[in-house]
Amino acid sequence: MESSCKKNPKNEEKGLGSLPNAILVCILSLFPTKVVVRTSILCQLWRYLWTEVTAVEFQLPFSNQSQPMSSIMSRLASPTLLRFSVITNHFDTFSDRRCCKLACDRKVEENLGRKPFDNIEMLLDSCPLLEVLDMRLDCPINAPCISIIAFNLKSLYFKMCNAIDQHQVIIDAPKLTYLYVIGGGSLIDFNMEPTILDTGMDAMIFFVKHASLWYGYLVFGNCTWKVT
Amino acid sequence: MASSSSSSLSRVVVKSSDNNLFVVNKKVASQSQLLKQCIDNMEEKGTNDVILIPLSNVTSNILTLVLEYCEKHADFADDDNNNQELKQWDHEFLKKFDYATLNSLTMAADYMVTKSLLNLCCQFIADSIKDLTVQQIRQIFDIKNDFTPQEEADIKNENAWAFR
Repeated sequence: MESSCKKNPKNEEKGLGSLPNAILVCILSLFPTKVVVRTSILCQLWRYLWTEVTAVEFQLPFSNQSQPMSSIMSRLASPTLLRFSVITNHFDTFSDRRCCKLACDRKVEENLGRKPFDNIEMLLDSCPLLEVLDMRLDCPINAPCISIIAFNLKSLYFKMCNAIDQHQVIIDAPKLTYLYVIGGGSLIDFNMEPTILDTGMDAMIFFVKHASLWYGYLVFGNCTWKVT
Repeated sequence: MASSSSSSLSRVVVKSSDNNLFVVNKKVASQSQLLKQCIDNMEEKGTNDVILIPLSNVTSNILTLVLEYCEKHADFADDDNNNQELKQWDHEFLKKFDYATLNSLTMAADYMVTKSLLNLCCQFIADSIKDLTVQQIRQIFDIKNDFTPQEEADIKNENAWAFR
């Protein structure tokens, strides 16, 4: 039980100079991606440190070009992504299949011939540990059905604006505790009983169990969608 | 795997790297997974002696701070992290430290596996440096710029959008 406590030579550290890389990466993971990338200019040791982050947060368009997102995703070295957030009004940018494919290539085999909105699904496939997904797409999405199947997902913020018909969002995320969905008209299917859900203020969801499935009715303004 | 309550202890003694002893309530100590693990192990063995846990990486002044944090948080349930009062307290708690103290506190939180304190420190550091200039960040992290002007230009070029 007794340990020999060697007296550490007192390092006269000023500032945050002696934090180990693992902690620095935790700190970097809290920054927006743009700020994170800027840390590559600090010194040789930091040059590629940012590629270890476990979170990406994009606000598009940064500069009318879509490469940043693809090139960033392709350079990430971290095996796990816990938080993915994209806020854009250029769906073209996001639907650039390359960027999500690149993200996924770190982990998942090529998966071609999918529906347009499989980008999200591909991302979820390749990042099984993802805990936070934040997608604010101020642009129409032409996919009738979006499946969000994520075992570890805890928080989902999903905003889409669709002028055309309703589309269906299927959520299977047993650990989900925060859900915020805004859409042109959405029916949410829960494949599992939802846990404590803290919904956003301007969306209201009722849960009904039907034929062993849980359904959430997203109530939006004056409209209600139901299972037929 | 519940340990029998007959041999459970109410207090432990924690020793800092500079050999000062701290008597800590078990509930407070359990905020640190490292201490909790030690306690659980000893209880499983059925020890009734007072446990002494030496922490060779943490000095007294930092340990005092970690324990102050643990004491406050022991009063709140695990799922009470959103408690406004507690959040306010956390912020006030960290606000008074300089970067060197924050550095040691963060490392102690990591070593003692006090995850909520570690997250808190990381968030606090991130918030306080995210708007600083490159030069200021270098200063805080004690970084010497070891790039040649050419390399620096290349990096900026490579990620031009981020430096705009």
